[in-house]
Amino acid sequence: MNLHNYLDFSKKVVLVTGSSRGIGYATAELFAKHGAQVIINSANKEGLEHAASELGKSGYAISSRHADVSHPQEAHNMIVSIMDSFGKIDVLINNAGIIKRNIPIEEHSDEDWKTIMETNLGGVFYVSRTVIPFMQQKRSGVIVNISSQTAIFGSKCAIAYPASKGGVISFTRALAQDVGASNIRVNTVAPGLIKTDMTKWTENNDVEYEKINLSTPLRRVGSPFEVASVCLFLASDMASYVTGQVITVNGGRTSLLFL
Amino acid sequence: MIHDEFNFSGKKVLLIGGDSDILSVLAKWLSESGAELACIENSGRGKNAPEVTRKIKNLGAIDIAVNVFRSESKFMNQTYESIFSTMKEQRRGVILSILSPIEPRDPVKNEEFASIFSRGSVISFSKVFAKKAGPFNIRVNTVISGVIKKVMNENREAFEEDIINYIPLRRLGTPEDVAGVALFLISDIASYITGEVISVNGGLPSSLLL
Repeated sequence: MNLHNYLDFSKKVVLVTGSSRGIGYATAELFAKHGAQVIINSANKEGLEHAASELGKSGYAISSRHADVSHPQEAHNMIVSIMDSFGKIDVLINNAGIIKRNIPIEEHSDEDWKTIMETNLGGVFYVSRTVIPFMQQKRSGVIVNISSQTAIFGSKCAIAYPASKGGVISFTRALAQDVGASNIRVNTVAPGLIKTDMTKWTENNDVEYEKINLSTPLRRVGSPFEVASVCLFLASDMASYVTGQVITVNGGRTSLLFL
Repeated sequence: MIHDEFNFSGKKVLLIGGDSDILSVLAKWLSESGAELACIENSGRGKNAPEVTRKIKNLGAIDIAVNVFRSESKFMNQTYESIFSTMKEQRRGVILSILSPIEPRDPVKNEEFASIFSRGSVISFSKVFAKKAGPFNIRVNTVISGVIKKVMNENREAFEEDIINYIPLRRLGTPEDVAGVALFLISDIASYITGEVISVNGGLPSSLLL
């Protein structure tokens, strides 16, 4: 067989939540490059329009849906609208996420806890809940959830962030058991430090940057495309027997825990 | 970049593990994609170390090394020594260890313990090795094979029938299933992944993994 068929996503419908920028944008772009009909989504209307016009310049099959996945009804309506337009969703990338940095737990407000949890973990639940029955009907589908290495070894950001991302990992493992018999695969990618707007703070912080580089075996930060390509792999038939797994994409940083 | 993911032309690949079905599939894919291959048996007990050195000399360089382990993990260090020193000089390389498929075991003979110990040590070794090799732009990863379909005999049939109930995807794996993940990890698609372990087991809960 031709290996390149593995990465041929033409005729596939792919939804990437939170894809107006960063890892989500790179993932949407990569799937589109490989022939997929991609639906991009964001709660930020301006950002979404900008992303759609940027991606449109390359002639990709892009459609956009403005919705805040932390609202159950908005998440539900988005899926119904995609089903109306395209009749199926082959691949769901649950990527939408928000972060807050440097809030000590005693100053961590209820509101921050709720928004972060509802977006990063709630959003994964609300979107998946509506998508799964459609995937079950055609007995195939792939879900890739974006977690974070902070779920595995903590971080100094607001505690709700690693907590929500840890929830994404547990959600993945449990859902994989649940829907495997319907031939639906569910996996998680846990990125390390990736050069995006979310990690911009490191760019003007030489000390922090040096520390990160030294604690990363590959001695560099990752690019959004290096996470996107792992999503592409997990969604492809190369990963046809991979489900319930967590793949860290962090230049080897997790391995420090073993010493 | 995008359509070159599986262009292995000119890449020099060493495959260690002789008769493995998984390696046969991988070898076929890689040679179709232009790689130059050298294959050797995995004799265990470090006996293959001189042969590894010889093969690398013949290849002239080494970009990718894939090693399939059965039970013997104590001597990985020796096997990987000349691979690592060559890659270190090149300042690039990819190393992949594949843990061979789960087999039915006789708990009375303590086979289970020996197997878990051995598989665990391959994983730990790879993680530590990844840290050592990372600064030289060398990636080190591990694939854990689940239960892979094999030629049937009576014992095998009972084992497969039983285990399939625990596998969420409700089927056994194929050599292609494992080779696909191996291909991913040795390709540039996985350029920021090192020290990582990926299970290819259809979702078999990890308590039953080893």
